[in-house]
Amino acid sequence: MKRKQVLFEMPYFFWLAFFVIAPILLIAYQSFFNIRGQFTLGNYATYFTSATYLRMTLNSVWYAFLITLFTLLISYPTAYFLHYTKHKQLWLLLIILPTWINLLLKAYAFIGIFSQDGSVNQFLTFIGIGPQQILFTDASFLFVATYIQIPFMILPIFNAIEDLQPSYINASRDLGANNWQTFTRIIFPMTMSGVKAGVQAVFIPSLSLFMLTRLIGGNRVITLGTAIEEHFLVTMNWGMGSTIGVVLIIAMFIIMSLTGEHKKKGRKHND
Amino acid sequence: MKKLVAAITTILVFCGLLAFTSDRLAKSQVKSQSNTLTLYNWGDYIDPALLKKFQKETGYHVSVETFDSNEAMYTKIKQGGTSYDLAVPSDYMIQKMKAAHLLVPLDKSKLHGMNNISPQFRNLEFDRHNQYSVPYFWGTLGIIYNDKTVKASQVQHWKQLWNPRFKDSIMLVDSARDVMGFALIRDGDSVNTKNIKQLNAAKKRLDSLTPNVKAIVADEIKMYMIENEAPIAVDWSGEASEMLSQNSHLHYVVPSEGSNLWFDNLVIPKTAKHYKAIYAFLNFMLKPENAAQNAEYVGYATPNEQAKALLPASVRNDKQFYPDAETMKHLQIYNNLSPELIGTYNELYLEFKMYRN
Amino acid sequence: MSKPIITLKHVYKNYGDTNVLHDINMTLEAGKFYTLLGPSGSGKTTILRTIGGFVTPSSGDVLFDGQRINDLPANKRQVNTIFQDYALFPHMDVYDNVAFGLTIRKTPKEVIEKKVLRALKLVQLSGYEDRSISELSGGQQQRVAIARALVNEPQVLLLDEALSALDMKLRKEMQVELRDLQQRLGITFLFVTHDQEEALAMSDEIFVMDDGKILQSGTPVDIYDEPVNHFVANFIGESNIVPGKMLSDYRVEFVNKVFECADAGMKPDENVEVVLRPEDLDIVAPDAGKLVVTIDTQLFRGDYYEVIAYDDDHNEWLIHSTNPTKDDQRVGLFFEPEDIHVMRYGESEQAFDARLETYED
Repeated sequence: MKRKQVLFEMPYFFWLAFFVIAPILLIAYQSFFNIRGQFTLGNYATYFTSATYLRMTLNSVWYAFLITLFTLLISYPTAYFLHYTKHKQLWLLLIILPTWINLLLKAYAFIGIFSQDGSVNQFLTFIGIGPQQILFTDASFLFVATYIQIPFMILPIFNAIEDLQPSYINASRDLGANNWQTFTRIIFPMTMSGVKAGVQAVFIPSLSLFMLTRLIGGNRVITLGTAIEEHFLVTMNWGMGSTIGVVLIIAMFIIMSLTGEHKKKGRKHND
Repeated sequence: MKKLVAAITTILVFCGLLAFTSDRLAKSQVKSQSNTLTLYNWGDYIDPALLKKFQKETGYHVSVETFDSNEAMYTKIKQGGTSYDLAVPSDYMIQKMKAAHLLVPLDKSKLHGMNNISPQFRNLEFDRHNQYSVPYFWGTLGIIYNDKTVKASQVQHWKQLWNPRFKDSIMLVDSARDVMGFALIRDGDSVNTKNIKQLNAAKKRLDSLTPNVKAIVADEIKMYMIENEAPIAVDWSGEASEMLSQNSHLHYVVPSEGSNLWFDNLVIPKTAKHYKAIYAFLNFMLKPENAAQNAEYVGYATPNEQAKALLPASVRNDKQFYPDAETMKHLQIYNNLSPELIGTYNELYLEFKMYRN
Repeated sequence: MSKPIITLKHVYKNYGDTNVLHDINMTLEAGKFYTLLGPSGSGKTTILRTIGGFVTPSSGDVLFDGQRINDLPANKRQVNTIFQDYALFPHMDVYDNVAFGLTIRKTPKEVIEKKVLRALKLVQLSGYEDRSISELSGGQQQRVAIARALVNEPQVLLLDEALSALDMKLRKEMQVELRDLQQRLGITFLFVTHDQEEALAMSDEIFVMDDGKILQSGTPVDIYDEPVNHFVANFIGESNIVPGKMLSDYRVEFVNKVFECADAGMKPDENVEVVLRPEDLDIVAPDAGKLVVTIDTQLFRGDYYEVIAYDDDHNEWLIHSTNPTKDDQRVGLFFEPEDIHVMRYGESEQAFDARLETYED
């Protein structure tokens, strides 16, 4: 019986070992070597003393924060109203559909839409505003990044809302709460797990977006992903690239622990 | 559950069919392994008709694999496990591969037609006496402009890019060496400078160019320029020739004060196996008629003088892609820099990209 | 008779073509314990939700204290509900759950604290303020739900299958406690259950429902003793129901014998159903019985023996006997004329009550 269980666990163990732990260890290991292959802590020293990298980190966090915020602001109401629509599975499918399309294709589609001769500018010209520079702006970058991330936020939130027993909402109404109070005090806190999962699914990848920063942001938006790409593909300084990778992995763990489940602290009543 | 099984079965059958067909196709093309030459090349960088012709003439089949950056190619060859017979690195990369002992010297006795190559493209610093490389194509870095909004006289020199009237108008190719390079040339410095002061000055220069920079992009530059997204771009001549062929309002300028001159040369990596085929191919490509056909297909400038003579006059006299001798004198070739110096170039370039005023 | 607090007048509820509630009329007086009893799907929860404000009737009126409240949203009604799954908010501790209604009403903090602690004391959960909901047992969760509702001082408390999630022993305890609580607080309870024992034990008045209709209402004793029809008789307690014929007033024939009974007001020779409760049947010597049966099986139920016997016409008889019997023994069954309850086919509660008026007293 015991041996059988071990046998069943083996594939998962190997999977974890080879595809999760080993790559992380390799990245960590690589980060301790300089460009000449000598062991060094210099990469970390460089990272934490370089205004460029720190500012880039700040940039990354800031843009990832904005993307996550906008994604959440759009996704939560969408998921909420989706829950009450008639053909919600169909609508959900339509929302998920864009994720089936390659990211690069979507980016090029947006280039077509946002370019000087694109449909948006044609519309602006039509209504008399005249063509505007849309591509290569922060706004367009945030717009496209948000668009791409939305399904990953909607899905967990939608599932959390679906899982919410209607009796909680009834109970809240029954106890005197109006719709808004019910939402803020019951529905939102109780679907927090979905929000957290969504934030994790969006924030962490957003930290290291690099294709969009170039295609839509025209490299006017620089994130850590840009630096990693450069170190691996241009300067061939894998050590430095790995160092940034390690920083991102640590950032990921921080986000996970911040958004993870906490044991609720006891509260004191003066009784 | 039934549906799932059906879906999985469909996918598996589909994959099986594809694998079978591709296997059959591959077999029908390749008679035997020893008859095959593997060329590791940039994407769409050789006329496929030439490969057919080569096979007809010599019986060797050419299988082409592609890369999209010198560094990616370098890593792959260095890591081993490949069996490329020929590769097409750029100048500084040839130097680097040489230093890393990744290249096999050419056996000149087996090579015919090197004299077809223009003397000015032979015996260059990155490969003295062409010990390792046969010139394939060459080109420059320059300015592409759209004559609808920009006059030719406004973009003859690098420093004109800093003109305030070009606010938010310029697209730069996303390459540290090239962008740092034109900033260095603007100040009269070498594109290979090791002087950190000059580099810092160049970076400062670039910072002040920021208001004029619309975007820093890669291959997409072509598409953007063709679609009039920006009036000015800094890009390589090969890319420029493609843009020009699709938008008659575009023109290409190599500033006379200097620019980068680059080469893509054929080399034999140490992974090579089929030497007979390799020399047959090198000699085949050195033949003027073949080099000319390839140049017409690819659109880049050929270093083969005899081949150039075979090209239409409109092409070979085009100052945009075959600059005059005076300009050629001022062009600079990238040297392979130390990894630290490359790091510095890239660091400064990254800082420039992050610079916001 | 105290004044009615909740009145339902001709309430109907349809979902598309399905009739969930059919002409519901009921009056709840202040300070009484009412039970809606019926099988699942009979509409009892729908009535509760109509009063709670979660279901709007298709037609008819819901009155609270004489005011029509059909369109008043749930959060504005002075009734509170205990949900079947309690619906305690898992992200709040016990204190916050109980305080929820008061916080919504912006009650001062000190008042909230005083009321919450009092409510918790009332349900014997003092000291559990900081517990999280998941740490509580089912019975404790039930009490928190009650405290959470009571703290708002509702005039009517609606309980939706409130005890069904508890085990038997706890359920019995909570029945006593709920009844006790209701009597101490003096507010109206409307309790929904499908468990007839629970209904009989706790209620001042029971509404028996089936298929969206109220079949009969009355005190537990009335309903038990005088079920209006086959369904009620079967649903409330155990019964022997046999077809019969009303020969004339106070004379009924069943199993081919004529018996004296206490019912009247029917047509001569009308076909009827006769109910005999198993505990009303006494086992006597064969010659002393009004019927002679053969014992088939018996089960010991603790406080009585459940005996199944057959008469010579193969009618089955269920008997609750205090003394054991022997299998295959022939015994007599004795019962008084008052133990026979005669039901007319298709008689409504109103008609039943009216008929009773004609010959009682």
